[in-house]
Amino acid sequence: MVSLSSYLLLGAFLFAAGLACILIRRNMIQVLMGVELIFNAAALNFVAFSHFTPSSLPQLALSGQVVALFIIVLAASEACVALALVLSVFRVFGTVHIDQVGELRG
Amino acid sequence: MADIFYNLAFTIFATMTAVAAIFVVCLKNLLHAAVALFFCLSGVAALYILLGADFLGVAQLLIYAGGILVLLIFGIFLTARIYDSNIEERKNKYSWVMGVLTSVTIFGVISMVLSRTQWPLKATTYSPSTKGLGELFLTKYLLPFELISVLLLFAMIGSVILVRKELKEK
Repeated sequence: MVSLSSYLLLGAFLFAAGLACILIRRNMIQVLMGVELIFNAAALNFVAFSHFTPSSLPQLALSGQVVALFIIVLAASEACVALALVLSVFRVFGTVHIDQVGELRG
Repeated sequence: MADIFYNLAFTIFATMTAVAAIFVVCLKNLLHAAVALFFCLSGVAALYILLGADFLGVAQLLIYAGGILVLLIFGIFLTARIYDSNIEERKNKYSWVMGVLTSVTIFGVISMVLSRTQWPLKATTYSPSTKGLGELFLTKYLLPFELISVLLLFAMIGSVILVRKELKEK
């Protein structure tokens, strides 16, 4: 059987990829994609731990999946609000390039 | 025998997810990155099903791959000039090195910790999870459930207010 560690390793890889996406890319929408990757990494860890629950605590078995569902809902609302922000930034500045939206920089 | 199939399925879907994640980071064309993100999210949904979370896998496909991704693609169409090549122009030419270094370091630390940890846990048996999830949502997690529905309403109203056009009086 596949062990818990391999799922956690994949979660860590997804997290690192999302972090790299946020730090490297200069387009706001691609930064959002990185945030979605990080959400998925966290949810994958929760579901993996809910599958590998000790059998002495059966009431915990589904809690990880509940939290993962909450994460999906939060990601949906986050994507909604963030895209609205990106659209209004595009309307004001005419670009979605992060470095060019620096009005408040001293 | 079942173990072999399980390992094979895990290897295929995990590889698909990881490779697609790399493509999301590396591809410069936003639409291509969005397609790669679709494969990544679908791979995670398949892994959920391998982990015995059937309802969650379907919800992931419906909400992420079907909803959030379409929203992102709409955002790409509405903002990015797809054939504009200097969207990646940056102020500091080598700033991407720091990003790669940071994420590689964090991945290295986490994988080192994972390789040294022994988990005293065994996989639970498979059973349909939808009924249990519904019961948990309406008993133990009732308050967060209600709060998150209010949060969804707020997000919907907030994004409508953010993107609407101002109506000029007089």
